[in-house]
Amino acid sequence: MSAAGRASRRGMAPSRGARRGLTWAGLALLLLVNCIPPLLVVRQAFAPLGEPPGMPLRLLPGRLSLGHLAQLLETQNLLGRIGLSLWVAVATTALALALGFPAGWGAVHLRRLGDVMTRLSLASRILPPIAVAIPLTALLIPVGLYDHPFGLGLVVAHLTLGLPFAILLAYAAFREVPGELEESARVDGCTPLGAFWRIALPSVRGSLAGAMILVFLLSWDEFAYALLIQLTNRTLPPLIYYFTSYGDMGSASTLAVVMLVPAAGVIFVLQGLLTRGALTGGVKE
Amino acid sequence: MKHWAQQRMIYGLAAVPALLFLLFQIWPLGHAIQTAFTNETGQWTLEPARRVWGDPLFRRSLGYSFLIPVVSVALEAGAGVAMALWFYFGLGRARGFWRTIALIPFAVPEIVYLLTMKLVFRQNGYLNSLLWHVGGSEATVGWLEPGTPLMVGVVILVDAWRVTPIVLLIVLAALEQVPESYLEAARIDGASVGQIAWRILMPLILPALLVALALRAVDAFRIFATPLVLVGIDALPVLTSVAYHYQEFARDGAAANVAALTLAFTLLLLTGLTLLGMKRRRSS
Repeated sequence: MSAAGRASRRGMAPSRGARRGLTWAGLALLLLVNCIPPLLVVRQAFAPLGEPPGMPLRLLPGRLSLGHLAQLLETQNLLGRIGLSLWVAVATTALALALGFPAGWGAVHLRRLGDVMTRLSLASRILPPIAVAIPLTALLIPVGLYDHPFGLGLVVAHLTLGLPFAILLAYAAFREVPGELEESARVDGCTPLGAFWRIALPSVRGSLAGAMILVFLLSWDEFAYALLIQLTNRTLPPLIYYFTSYGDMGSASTLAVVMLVPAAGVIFVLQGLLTRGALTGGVKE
Repeated sequence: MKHWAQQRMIYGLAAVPALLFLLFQIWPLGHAIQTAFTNETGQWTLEPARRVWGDPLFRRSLGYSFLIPVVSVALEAGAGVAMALWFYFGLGRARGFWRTIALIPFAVPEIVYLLTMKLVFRQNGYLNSLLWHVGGSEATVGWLEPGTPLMVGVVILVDAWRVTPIVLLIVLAALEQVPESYLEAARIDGASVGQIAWRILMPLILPALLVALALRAVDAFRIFATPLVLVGIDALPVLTSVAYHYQEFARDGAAANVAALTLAFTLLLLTGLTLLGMKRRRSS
């Protein structure tokens, strides 16, 4: 029996039945509020094209249809949009981890540098993307990275979000690796980089996997930079915004369902990371 | 361990991130200052700044940009702590499952979450349909009607609900680390659940809660997508969306950069003051 269970049994005033009823009512409300809206998006995505918008709306469409999907494939180059979003997220993740994890490892070994680096990483988290994106577009235009067909400018912008994040995660993870491990590898003739690659990196692979997922989603979900930098070669989030503002909820919802596919897995991963302290600690044997 | 050669290598590893930081965060800000405060001939000028700071749209956005963090953070703190205490005392082994359910609004991409909320709250939306079914067509409400306090409230509520799970998770994690013996001792002394929550648990979770809320206040101050997607720029302008408006629709680069800089430096100033205040409190 848990502490909480015992506490509630010894608690006072309302009867046990009444309290249990209240708990279930609260949980039912939570379930409704959090689960119904995402299901509405799915419902909207698979509704037939010409569904009358008149009130009151029905909870379920008359029949299911792939009309919105077919329309997007035909008119919006849907596969190209998905491909661009995926590519930007993958490139951002690869670069952020390839640069951030070595830097985070270095920061652990050089205290002075570590202090500066973690502070700068936190500071860059405070800068609002919009405030940076507006002047950044002016700098990207002359070098041809603005609205780039392969989203190279957007990768750079997302890197400014993902890299500090990766550095902070790496810094927290490498701090937990016992110094003697690398020390003994060095004694056995390993170079510093060898010690990083063979000893330190394998012992933080849990955090590495977590960082990979989180940075990927950071880029996949990002809206403000994408809105300003990819004006015509749009990624999925700004495209959803455009359809929403034109009132085309069917198309917006179809794209939203596409966006949910990678996000669905993360809810469990994220929760595990946050609660098991891997975000601040990393795996320890 | 600190050989000269290794130090040099470590600085090398940090060089690329540092370069990127300078190139894509500091340089843009410098460029923004140049664009905002010089004219075509390269002379310093306050003309765009005066134009922006006198613009009624910008003035309204300032008000909302300060109102939203205050209300939103208060709501998140209240709801987050209440839910954490409820989960802690009221739910036993099933806690993990319900925590996952509570996390849904944060786990879905922001734009998808906002789309779901638009589907629910718009005039021809699902909430009004529900009210119609229950009370007839007169029962429908203009949840997102521009110019009404209700619309502002709905936008803030939508923003707060998305991040309440973060407060919930942090507070719940802090609660779960409180040693069992503290609760045991309080119970032996005859403390009620309410007293245990207020007198024993609250002081212990306060540090974690304050850090979470400070980060959330920063996020709420630079809120962008929520009011933009739900009601548009003009109905509820905030600093970010007004800067976006100048850039994309008014095509006024100088004004956009003035707004962006106002936002960035207000944030840096507020953060600096908060850090200073925390330091002074800790040392006194």
